[in-house]
Amino acid sequence: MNTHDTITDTVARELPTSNGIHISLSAEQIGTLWGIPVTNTMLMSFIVFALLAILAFFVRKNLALIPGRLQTAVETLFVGILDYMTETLEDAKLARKLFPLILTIFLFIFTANIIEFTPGIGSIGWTHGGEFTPLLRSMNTDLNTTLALTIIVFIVIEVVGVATLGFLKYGKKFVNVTSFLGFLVGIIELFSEVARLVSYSFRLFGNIFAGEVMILVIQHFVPMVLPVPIMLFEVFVGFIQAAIFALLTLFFVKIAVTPAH
Amino acid sequence: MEQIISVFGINWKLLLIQGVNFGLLLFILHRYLYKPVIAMVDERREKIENAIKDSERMEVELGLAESEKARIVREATVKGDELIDAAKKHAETAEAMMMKDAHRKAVHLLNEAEHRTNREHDEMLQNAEREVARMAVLSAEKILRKA
Repeated sequence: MNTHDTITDTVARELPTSNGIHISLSAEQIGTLWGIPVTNTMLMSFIVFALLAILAFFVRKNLALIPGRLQTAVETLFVGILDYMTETLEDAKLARKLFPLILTIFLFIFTANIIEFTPGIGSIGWTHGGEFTPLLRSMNTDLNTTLALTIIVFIVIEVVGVATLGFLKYGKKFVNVTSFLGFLVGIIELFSEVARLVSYSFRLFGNIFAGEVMILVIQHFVPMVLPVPIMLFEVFVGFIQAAIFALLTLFFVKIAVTPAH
Repeated sequence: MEQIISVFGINWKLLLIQGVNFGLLLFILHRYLYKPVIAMVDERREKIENAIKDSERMEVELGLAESEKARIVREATVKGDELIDAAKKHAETAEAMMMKDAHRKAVHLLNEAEHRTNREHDEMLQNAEREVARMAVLSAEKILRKA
């Protein structure tokens, strides 16, 4: 707890704290429920959940053989993604199986990123002992969220790899004793596999968090007009990051199901 | 490591909650959005496929019907021609027969008329002869009485 405070303070001190900018790498805790800490990013992820559930409800309610506008848009998106996945994986069955995961990753991250600048998020809150605690905070600026997604994706990739190739064949990618060079390559593969846990979670977290910080700083110096194009750009970054997270999952699955040669 | 965990506020409870949240979202979206939408797309694709197949089959059937129609028309024409020919032939024979009949009847009537005329002529001659003979007898009687 002690180290936490000092580091946050260091980060905060490097930025003009005296003028009121407070930046915390971790999400702020806003309460405790049944012994579980409730953070503002957690609330945000529930809101994203609700938004997507509402979208699902509306699309499903109006689902018809002759599609309306919303249905056409949703269908075009889904079929486009499914076709792309089938093309990449070269396996229609596996693409259909993974489609929900990939699409949910994209929709979850994308929705969270586009609502990140909704007025009220980050600005409504309360001051507690001289420190401002916002009620809501952009979902992906919490490493817990991105790490949780990364762990899920990591497990799925390994499971799909083992299920497709079989345990021994999949294991051969990492433990290769046929030659010394092969053994080294296997070790490197293993490391890069595990390193994904870090690169995945920190890529998303870093991009979105950096965007938030940049907006905060710019808002501090030029409160009007200038933040708007930056926000627009950050929404674009949010889309790109969502797409990258989903696409990388797809590509790593493809690598996992490709037998080693 | 400890430091990183505390700086970023990583907490296994929060990780678990986020994981469960995502899992639940995945379940709900899969069940209530992806599945119905993809099923609908598949259904539509199937329907379109069927419609195209149906239309292809219809085209083939239409071609068959068309050739069948042509065949029937051709047959009907041939049959009709045959019928007309037969009728014509029949009419011709009937005409000839009627003509012959009429001719025969006319000849017969003529003959009869001639016969009758001849008979009447003969009768008249006989009558006249008889009358003449009677007259002669009468006049002879008259002469004889006077004498």
